[in-house]
Order: sequence, then C-alpha cells, then structure tokens
Amino acid sequence: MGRQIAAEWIKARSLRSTWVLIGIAVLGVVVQALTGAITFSGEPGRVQSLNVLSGSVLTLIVVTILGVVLAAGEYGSHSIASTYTATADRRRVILAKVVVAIAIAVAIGLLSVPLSRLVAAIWFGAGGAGHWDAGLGTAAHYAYGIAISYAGFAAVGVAIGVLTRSIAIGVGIAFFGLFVLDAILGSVSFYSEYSFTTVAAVLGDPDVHQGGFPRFGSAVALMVLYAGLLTGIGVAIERRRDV
Amino acid sequence: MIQAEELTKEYRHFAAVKQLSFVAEAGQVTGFLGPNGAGKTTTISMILGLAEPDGGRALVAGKPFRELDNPARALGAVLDGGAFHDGRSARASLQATCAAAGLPAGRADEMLEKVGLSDAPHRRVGKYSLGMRQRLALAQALLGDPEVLILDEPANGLDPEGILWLRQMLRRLAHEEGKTVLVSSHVLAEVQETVDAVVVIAEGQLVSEFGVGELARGHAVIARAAQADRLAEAVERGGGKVVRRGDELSVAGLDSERVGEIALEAGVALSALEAEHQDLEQRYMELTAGKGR
Repeated sequence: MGRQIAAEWIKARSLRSTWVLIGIAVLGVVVQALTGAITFSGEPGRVQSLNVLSGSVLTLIVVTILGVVLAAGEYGSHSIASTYTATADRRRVILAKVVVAIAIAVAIGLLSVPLSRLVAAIWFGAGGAGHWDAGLGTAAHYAYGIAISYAGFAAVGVAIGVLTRSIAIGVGIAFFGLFVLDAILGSVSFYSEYSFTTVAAVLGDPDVHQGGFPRFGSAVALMVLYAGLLTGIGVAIERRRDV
Repeated sequence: MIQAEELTKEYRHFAAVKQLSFVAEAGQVTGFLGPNGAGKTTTISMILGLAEPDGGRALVAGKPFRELDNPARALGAVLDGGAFHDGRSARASLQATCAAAGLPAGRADEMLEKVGLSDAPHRRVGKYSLGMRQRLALAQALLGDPEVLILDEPANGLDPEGILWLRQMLRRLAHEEGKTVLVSSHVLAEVQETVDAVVVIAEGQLVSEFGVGELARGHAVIARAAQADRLAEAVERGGGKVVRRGDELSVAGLDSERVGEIALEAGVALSALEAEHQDLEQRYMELTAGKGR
C-alpha cells in the first residue's frame, strides 16, 4: 500500500493542475478570512475572530474538485491502463488516491487557521476595525474541524471521479450534488441534520453551534461515514468494470 | 509464457472474442495478427486484467494477471499510443510506475537512456511525438525487467529507423534474454521480419497458429516436365495433390525429394523441380480474406 501511495503522490505532484487547485484552495482561505474580518468588524471580537477562522466554502469546493481530478484525470488520458498494469489490485489504487487527496486537503485545512490568523493580523495592523479574541484551544479546534471537513470532501471527490471517470461530469455531479441538491434536500426536516452541507458547516465552524445541527462529534462520524461509503461504492464498482 | 484458454468477451451486440485459445512461448517473438476489429486489443485487455472475460481465462507465467504479486516485474505492456497523461513529464510518469513496483527511482533514467529519450526527460508527454511516446511506452514496459512483454501496435508512429530499432530490441529481448514477447499488429510488414511464431485471429476467433519456420519448409512443390500428364498421374498415385498449369505441376502433400523419386520411377524427365515458398504475407492474406470488420 505504501508503494501505491508513493506512486499516487508522484502523479499528483507532477501535474500543474494539482498546484493550481492547491493555490486556489489557499486563496479561498485568504478570501474567507478577509471577508470574515471585514463583514463582522462591528461585532464583538470573539464573533469576528470565529468568522475569520471558519472554513472556506470556496476551498471546500476546490478540494472536492481536486479529488475528482486526481481520480478521473487518469481515465481521460487512459493512463489508468498503465496504473492497473503496474498494480493489479484496483482497491489499493483507489485507496491510495484517497489517501493522497486527504493528505493534501488536511495540509490545506491545517494551514487554514494560521493563515487566517495572519490575514486578520494584517487587517488589524492596517487599521481594520475589530480585534482578535480567540485562544490556542479554539484555533486547534478549528484547525482539525476544517481539516476533517476538507479531507472528507476530497475523499468524496475521488469517489465521484472514480465512478464518473470524467473530470467534467465528475465536477458537475460533485458541484450539483454536494452544493445544490444537498442544500435543497437539507431543507427537508429529517435530512437537515445529516446533510453534507450541515456537516461541513459544523466542521468548518465548530464553535458556532446552531440549533438543529449535529454536534461536532456526530458531524465527524457522519463525514467519515459518507466518505467511507462513497469510496466503498467506488471500489466495488471499479473492481468489476473494464478499462 | 502467455496462455489464452477459451477466452470469450461479449458486448451487447456482438462477441468481440470467441473461445480464443493460443500460447505465446518464452524465448520467441509471437506476432498477434488480425485485421482491424479482429479482437486483438480486447484480447490483450483481458490478458492484462483490464477487461473481465465472459468465459475462459488468460494466464501470464501460469497465473491470471490479477493474481500476480508484483505485475510490473512479471509483465510489461506497451498499450496503443502509450497510456500517459499529457501533462506529466516522461520522467515523472516512469517514476510513478517505479514507485508502484517498488523499483528505485533511478531505474526511470536508465530506461529513458535505453530507449533514446534521455535528452528529453523533463518534457511533458503531450509535447512528445507519437514515435517518442511509443519509445516511452517501451521504457515503461521494461522498467521491472519483466519476463513477459505485450506490445499492442508498437510500431505506430515510428519512423523506419525506429521500426528497425524496435525490431532489433524485441528480437534481442526474446532470443538473448529469453523473454516472452507478444506483438499485436494489423500491418504485417511491421512484424514479419521480427516474429518467430504467429497467431492469426479474425472476427474474434483463432484462424491459425503456426511457427514462421513452417513457412520456410515449403508450402508446395513445383515440377515441370514435357510429359506433365504422366507425371501428374504418378504423383497422385503417390499421394500428392496436383494442380496443373500447362507443363507445370504444383504438388501439395509431398516434399520435392519424393516428387523427384516418383518422376524417376515413372521415367519422366524433369526440366525443373523446386519447393514453392509461401511468405507470411501470402499466408496471412489467405487466412484473413474477407474477414475484416
């Protein structure tokens, strides 16, 4: 499995598209932090700080696309045939792609908090209204909440990429399913507590608990369940499909 | 060794491969020939585990491909056009395969050198010509120094120099290193100087399987004599099948030595006696006539 992860990492890092998407994802963090600082400048420091720290929807979308690209990109170029002739066990290949996508997403998630804090410091230093009011514990809570959120969406992106075998279709389905259809279904009362959108909101903003949303621990469990389930479906179908 | 046993693959409207059985032996280059749409690529996909057979099985070194412990070390494949991501460099493409196979990363540079691409390792594959992609595909296939090589239309895009290079490389791998080499092609001229044995398929079925040496042993005997009628009768009595063209007889089923003996016994003076050689192209055309899809 380690060999396959190393192979998938080489593939990911050797493509320009990976670095472009990582750049946009990081940019999303900066935009979110700046927007939080400006929009909530009239609120108490605690509220402003939590909004600066919270996860970026743009980054969430981009890490999902990254997952789709890492998986589906191989089918468009037919390089998946080379991959499967070097490693016959398709389950290992897909899991390695999931691991690499998660690792990149987690790195972005962990970077998100210090980067957000830096943006806020620059904002306050430049005379922006408000002040910082969040301790190390809060920052750590946000860091791993956001990292889990990004990791889950990246894994779901890989599963969608494997299932669709097309970047265009995969991105379309991911965007529509996760960010449109899911939000619409979230308005149905029984589903609202379990929707991707709600889970992402809880993980990306763990200290701002809203009524009707799952608790942080439940949100982590749901994210693991969703990502695991979709990956499992992807593996099961891919093992039986022709290339 | 590669063994195909009753391989069958059906799609919704047609059977691409029907109960196909053949063997590619170690130490020789086996040509896998057939017209377009004969089922060559589908068969190769089944051997490589990329497509699931609907019947039968394919074995590489005695095992189904998916059961090989480290496939890259057992089998190398050159797939049609080279299966590479255009945005990745040649070196990174090979290094990824090295990592998956547990080979040192330096092996990628060795193979690039071997196939003559060492001056362009960092260039993106999308910028490579088709011939360069084919060389890169061969480099990838050789990374794990596998005992079995499968090449699907490997000469596509190669210039005459490249075809000569490929021919020499394949013959060396088979004859000097004892590897099993299976080369598919629909262009006979590309492989006829290279192969030791031939598997011909058409419409998904085995048409013929033979060694190239069999062709050299002669297909028929040509005998000329003024008393052609008398010779024909004698030869037919002796077990030969005769086709008459004026004073020339084409005799099947007997070798030239036996035809000479029969002529002597019959008291017929021969003006010519020679083995009629059929080349691979003639045999292939006969076998596949009217069978292209």
